[in-house]
Amino acid sequence: MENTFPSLPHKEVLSSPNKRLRFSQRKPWTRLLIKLSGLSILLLAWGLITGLGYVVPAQLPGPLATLQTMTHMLQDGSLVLHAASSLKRVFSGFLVAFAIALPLGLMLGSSRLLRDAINPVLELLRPIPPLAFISLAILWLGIDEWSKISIIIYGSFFPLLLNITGGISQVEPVHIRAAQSLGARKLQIFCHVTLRAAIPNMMIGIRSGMGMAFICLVGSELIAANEGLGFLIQEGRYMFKTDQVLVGMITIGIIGYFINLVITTLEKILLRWK
Amino acid sequence: MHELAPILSIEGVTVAFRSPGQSEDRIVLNRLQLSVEAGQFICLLGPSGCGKTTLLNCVAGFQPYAGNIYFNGARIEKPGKERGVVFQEYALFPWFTVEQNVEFGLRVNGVSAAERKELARHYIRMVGLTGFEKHYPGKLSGGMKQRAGLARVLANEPAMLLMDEPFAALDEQTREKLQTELLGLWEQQRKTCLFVTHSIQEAVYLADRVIVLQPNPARIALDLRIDLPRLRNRHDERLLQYQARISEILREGDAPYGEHLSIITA
Repeated sequence: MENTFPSLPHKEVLSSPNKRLRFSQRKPWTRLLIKLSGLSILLLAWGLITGLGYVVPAQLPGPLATLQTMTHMLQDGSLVLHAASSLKRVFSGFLVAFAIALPLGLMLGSSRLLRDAINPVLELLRPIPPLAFISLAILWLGIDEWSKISIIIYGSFFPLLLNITGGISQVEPVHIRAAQSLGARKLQIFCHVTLRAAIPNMMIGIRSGMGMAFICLVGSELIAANEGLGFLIQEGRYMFKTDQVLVGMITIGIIGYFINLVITTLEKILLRWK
Repeated sequence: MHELAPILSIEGVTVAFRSPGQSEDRIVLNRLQLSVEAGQFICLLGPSGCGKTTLLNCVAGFQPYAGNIYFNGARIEKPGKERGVVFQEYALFPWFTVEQNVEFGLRVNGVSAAERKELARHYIRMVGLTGFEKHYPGKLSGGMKQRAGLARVLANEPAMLLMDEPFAALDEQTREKLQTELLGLWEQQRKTCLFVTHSIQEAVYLADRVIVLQPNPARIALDLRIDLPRLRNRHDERLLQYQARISEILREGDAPYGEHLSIITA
């Protein structure tokens, strides 16, 4: 008699009923390949469009030409110089903003009254784009370094302040109670409970504050700058050196990518418990 | 029977809340009198809104009140480490490991690191969490979280334990297991316990004395001693009689509220 039973499923199907793998379960080189695939498609499309002559190089130079300009600028050291002065501005601006936002955020976060008093001011200032302050910055601070940095300070200040305040004010009351009934004093509760509870939000503030700092960078370097990545882009436009514009943009992208990597790593360490 | 000096003495305590949009205060506790002897296991039982958690919060020092509550002769004004609290929502610090949570009270009270470690190890073993010292609370089950919560409070060696529906969020099997283990710990330590619950079964299984609170008007409806040796059999005829008596009181008191209770009739 013929075998009427349905044949057993193949062993491999049995052992992995769900064939879709999580990204983290894949082999490292497969992961790298997946990560690089999107980038390669972008580069390929860029190469095709420029290589087939659909656009003139003055509008969009090809990837190879851009790479050439980039290597050239790396070799003569100019790119490093521009990147360094931009990074100096971004970091000084961000750090000053953080130094103001931290104590202010801690105060605002701990006092409902203070929040209610200051919120209208913040809500009025917040929608004004930082670049709208360029005129005032020049009038007040001239055209040197600090007028550029002040724009960056202003831009990264609000995301930092709002997230620090939010983090501090959102601490769970039951955690405060638990700490109190275990005998913790005010300062101890602040350090071990309130501050710890605020770290996730603070990291969001740092991430978006850093993002704003870069957005403001290019704008701030419109103010009579002689060096910097924003300046590179500006100058490239005036002189019709589109490859230089692209080098400036790509460099900002690469720097932003690595800063984000640092922040993500910091988050992984600080927020292990999440 | 001779009376010991009470460890906790609640004298004419009144608490009123005003809900938003209402013109009159709702009296949650009305000149409440209660005296607790050292080493007693007391269950505060009642439907939602009867003020049992409010009373516990007064004793914990979280809730301002009118009247007087004396703990070992001193009026309770604020939270203190001699009155350890176990919360329904565990209230473990998620950014600390189990070990760091258990050590927290000792740390803020200036106990040396070495001694802390030793005590934490002891209490973590006592609640059966050995091997989970380095875990973060987020990775633990509800039952394990409450074990950690209990160890954190016990490590601080309070004179009294205040427990606010500590097992209410757990599944039935875990709850019964933890009830039994809690009694085991209590037999060892003989700490005074104030345990809030809305479950009649839980109250009669655990307590020396069950205080039944009723709302509208706020009052103590029953103060019942459970004279049965531990560990009690949950199906013991006498236990069921106590349960029946309490549910009867709750039904008379306020029918619409009584329905919220988990009334089990034999």
